Amino acid sequence: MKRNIFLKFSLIVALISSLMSFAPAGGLSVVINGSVPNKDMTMVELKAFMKGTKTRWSDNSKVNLVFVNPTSSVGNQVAKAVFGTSGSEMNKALLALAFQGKISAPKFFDSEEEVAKYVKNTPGTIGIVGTDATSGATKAKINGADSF
Amino acid sequence: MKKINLFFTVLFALIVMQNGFAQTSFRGFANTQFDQPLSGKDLNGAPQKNAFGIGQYDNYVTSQLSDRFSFLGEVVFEYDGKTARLDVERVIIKYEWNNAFNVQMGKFHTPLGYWNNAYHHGELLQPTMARPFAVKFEDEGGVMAVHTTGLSITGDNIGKLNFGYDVMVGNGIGSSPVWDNNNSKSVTMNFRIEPIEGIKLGASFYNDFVTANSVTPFREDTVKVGTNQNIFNGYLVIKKSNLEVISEYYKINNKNAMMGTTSHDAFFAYAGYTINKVTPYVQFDYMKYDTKDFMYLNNNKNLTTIGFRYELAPLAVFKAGYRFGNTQLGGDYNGVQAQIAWGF
Repeated sequence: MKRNIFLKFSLIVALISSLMSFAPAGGLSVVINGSVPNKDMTMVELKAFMKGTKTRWSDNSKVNLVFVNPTSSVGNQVAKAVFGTSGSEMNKALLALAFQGKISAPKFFDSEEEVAKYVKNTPGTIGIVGTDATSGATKAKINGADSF
Repeated sequence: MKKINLFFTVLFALIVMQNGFAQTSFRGFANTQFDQPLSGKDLNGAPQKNAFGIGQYDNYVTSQLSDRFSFLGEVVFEYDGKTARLDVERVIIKYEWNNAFNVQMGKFHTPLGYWNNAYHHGELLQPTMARPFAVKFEDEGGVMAVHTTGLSITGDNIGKLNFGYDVMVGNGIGSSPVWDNNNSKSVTMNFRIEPIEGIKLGASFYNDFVTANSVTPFREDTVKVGTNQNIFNGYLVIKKSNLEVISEYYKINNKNAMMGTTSHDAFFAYAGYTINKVTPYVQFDYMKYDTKDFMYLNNNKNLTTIGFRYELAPLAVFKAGYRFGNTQLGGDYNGVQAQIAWGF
């Protein structure tokens, strides 16, 4: 009986461990400049802003995009979550949008801290960083949550 | 002409004076390739030869002149046979009113179909090695005015269906970027929806009246009698996860007193699936001319390419493929092509 319970317990522990190993790396947070009126948006709206199909905030001011280096781990995470592609494919997609004249050329920074700092100081700007790297910048809620 | 130049110079100066220096970005694209025909003939009936080649050397600039005004310019250095030349491909000044209404003026890619506006002169961003026949550039055997100088209004992401539109009036066939040979402007309309994320459906239309004795860019020949051109287009684009599908159909109708109505059909489809850095793809390209029409060099084509793209660096790709099918003037064709395209 004891052996049976031990076996079941071991199986449950193994199952939980394997599930944890597939859990995503740290979540992402959307940081916006204090001037941005859209402090609460849906995932669909976030994608529309980041992909350049919406270029104006709800008060009709201009959306400025900033990204962490697309080849970095967080850059790839952002690409997967927003564009459904790898970081380098996202980089090409952004270049294509600028080349089509749909968006102004976005800014890229090597670190999340630089992204957060730029967002804090530049009106109309939005960026995405790791949940722990917002560096005091204003967080926007996505589907009512601080991270996704 | 001088007055127009003066107007734009003063407008530019006023915008810059009002807003300080513009936020400007200079970028570019280039590519090089190798073709190895295995069978097939050129237009003179001689066997096609293998060749290395450089593609268009493309330089573009984007500039945010103010909160609402932006500028995009694109200049291409290319070879026309043996001679190098410089082409101003796009000069666009845009005023962003809101998400649903923007006004643009200058020289554009005509808002016909999907491919012609998604992919311009940089081969890096284009999924295949060559543009489909329907949207080839005018001076490379194209069949439509893929560039137009004029005025356009455009909007995107409207309502739950993500409706988007372009409406443009411009100098039509027989014109140049600085003058038109008639007062009849071409009209282009493009309407699209994206009801499900990643699935886009669209339709577009083009109309122009081509004045008698206009020189067309397609054959560098004159149209003998006044001709009314209507182009109808439909497209479906799927971009879901690693899958990309682009398919478009064009019907080109030319009507004049000499030939009556002639009708040309073009269709292409592309499908690619990305696995890490490799994207195997297939491209089908079809063009059928109406032999009565004198506007084009009639050369029906039906070619399929099986190829792949490999990402060498974030802004550099290697593309290679095997192409086969037939052309009316060249007979059966098959051959391999390889291309390296990059951005800088």
